[in-house]
Amino acid sequence: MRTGPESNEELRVTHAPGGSDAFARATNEILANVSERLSSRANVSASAWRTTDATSVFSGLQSNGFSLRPQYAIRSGTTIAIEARSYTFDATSRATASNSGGGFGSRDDQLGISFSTYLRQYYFNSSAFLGNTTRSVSLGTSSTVTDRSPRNYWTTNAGWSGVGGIIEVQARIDQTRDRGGFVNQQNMFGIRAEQLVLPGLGGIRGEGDLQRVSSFGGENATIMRAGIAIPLMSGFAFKIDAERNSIFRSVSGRVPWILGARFEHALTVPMLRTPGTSGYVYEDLNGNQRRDPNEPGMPGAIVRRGGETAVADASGKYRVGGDAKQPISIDEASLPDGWSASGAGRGDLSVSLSTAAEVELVVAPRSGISPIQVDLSKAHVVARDSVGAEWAAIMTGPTTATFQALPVGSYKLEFDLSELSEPLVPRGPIPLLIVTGKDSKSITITLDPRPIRMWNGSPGRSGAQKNDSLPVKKTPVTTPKKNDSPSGDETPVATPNQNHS
Amino acid sequence: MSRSQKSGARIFALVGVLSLSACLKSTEPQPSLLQLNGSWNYTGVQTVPVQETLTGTLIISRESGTSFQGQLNLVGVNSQTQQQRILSGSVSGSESGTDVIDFDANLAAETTPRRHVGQIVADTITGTWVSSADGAMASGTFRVEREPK
Repeated sequence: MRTGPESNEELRVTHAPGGSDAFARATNEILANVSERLSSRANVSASAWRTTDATSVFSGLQSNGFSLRPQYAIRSGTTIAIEARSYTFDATSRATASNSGGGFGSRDDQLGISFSTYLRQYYFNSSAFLGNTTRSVSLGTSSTVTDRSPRNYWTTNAGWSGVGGIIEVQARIDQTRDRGGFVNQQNMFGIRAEQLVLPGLGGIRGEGDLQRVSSFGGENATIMRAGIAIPLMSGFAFKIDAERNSIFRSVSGRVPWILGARFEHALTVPMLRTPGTSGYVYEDLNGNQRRDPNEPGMPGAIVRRGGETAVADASGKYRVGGDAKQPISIDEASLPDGWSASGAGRGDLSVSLSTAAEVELVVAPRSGISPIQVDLSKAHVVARDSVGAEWAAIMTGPTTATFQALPVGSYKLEFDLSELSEPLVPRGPIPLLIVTGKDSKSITITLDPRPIRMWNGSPGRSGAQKNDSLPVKKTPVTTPKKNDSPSGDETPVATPNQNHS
Repeated sequence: MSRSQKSGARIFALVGVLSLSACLKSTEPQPSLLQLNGSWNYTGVQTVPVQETLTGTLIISRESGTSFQGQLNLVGVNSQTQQQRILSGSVSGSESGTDVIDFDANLAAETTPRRHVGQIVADTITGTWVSSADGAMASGTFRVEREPK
């Protein structure tokens, strides 16, 4: 199976040796479904299948079929479609004590047009098909007899569907001409209601059908069904049904009402699944390492835990097996360029877009005195993210400190200038470094020289420059593991100067 | 509208009416060659997908040439759970060859007809039936015997 936003393809091959005798659909089944979006308004779907089977009654059962359905959206909610379909069926029955066995088959070819529209809670569907049916029979001593007859039908339904239930009107005309000259025309007109809230009755819902079938065997038939569902405690409901079908007659020839009563309770049964962990790989757009409602999933991301691997689906959801105590890591090779994983975890895993950022250091001239020359190559610039992790820059120029890959987020800049030849102080307030996307960020920080205090002759005072007034925080820069991978191996760090404590 | 256009429209309308009436009106019934009219006792078994015994009545109410129509009323009993269900609907079929009866039962509870094919010997028809929807099949055997008058 391949699923995408524009297309779906499915190929299924099934072999069940027991066949339908062992509750399978068939012994062998091959099925192909294709759906392709051709444009914003047009799409086409096609399917083909073939089954072969054998049962205690039939030594061979075969069916083949295909359908092709191009569809066009006239406007939002309104579509028109043309459908061609063909279906072939062949059965070979086993000989029994009372029956010498034989074979029979049929073939149906149809071409039709369908129209479907809805407006708010109202809907209307109609379709008409023209075609023919070919039948063949070969039983006992009879030679094969083949009969071909037209078969046409038109069907329409229209209704209203809402939280208060469904009300629908249905009509169908089915027409077949047989070999004897009959036009077997069956007309059906009906109205049905489902889950209909009955006003003023405290949540009791009603449902019912009324169908009139005419021109069938020269007789008309009326089918009536009505029922109510009374909600009880704890999700239980009591249902009463009554049905009257004029086709079904009792031994006395009367058409009876068939009554039924039952208690119902809907249960949600969890799916049985193998042990594992599921979550989402998501784009952490604001760098807070929490999945917020507007943060989309990252489809195609590969997650690993031990030897187990899984791929995130179109919504970014993954499910991976392995030891639940071990963290799950993202294979960064599976991420698009510029994206990196924020770390290992167990549920939702964040990825973020990494961006280069530069901090331009400008040394301000000492007031009233000549400009000073300072070698800034030993300056250390650190960015601290919202959870306190440190990201270190390297000096890529005489006055430029560069973060080669910073995830999206806001960073507080910190400076360690203690190794410089001249004592400098960052001019406050120091702005936040905000990384929002792919574009490189640049920020300028002015470094002020410490004011020179001249000796005034007082004892105990030194005339030399002093560093004790500098509020520079020295931040130790280390290179810990970025990810705590389950294997104990160090996950490669995207840039060697990134530190994520 | 010109004269030729008027005559063309008349011919078109006539052809349309004739075509429509040909489609909608049945051909007059012909004498029956089968004499199947009446009530028949139906017994059968569904072997796939679940074992079910079928008992009921087949009523043939209309015949023409080799074709017939009627209705089928059945009670199906699941062999494992003993749960019962009612199956009823119309029947339409024909005689193929000299002794083969072929009919569809359009049962209300099912989306596709059950095709029955059997051999008729005197007043008994025995055969097999099968229905198939998108490759999922149901099948079994049946026997119908004319009810004694």
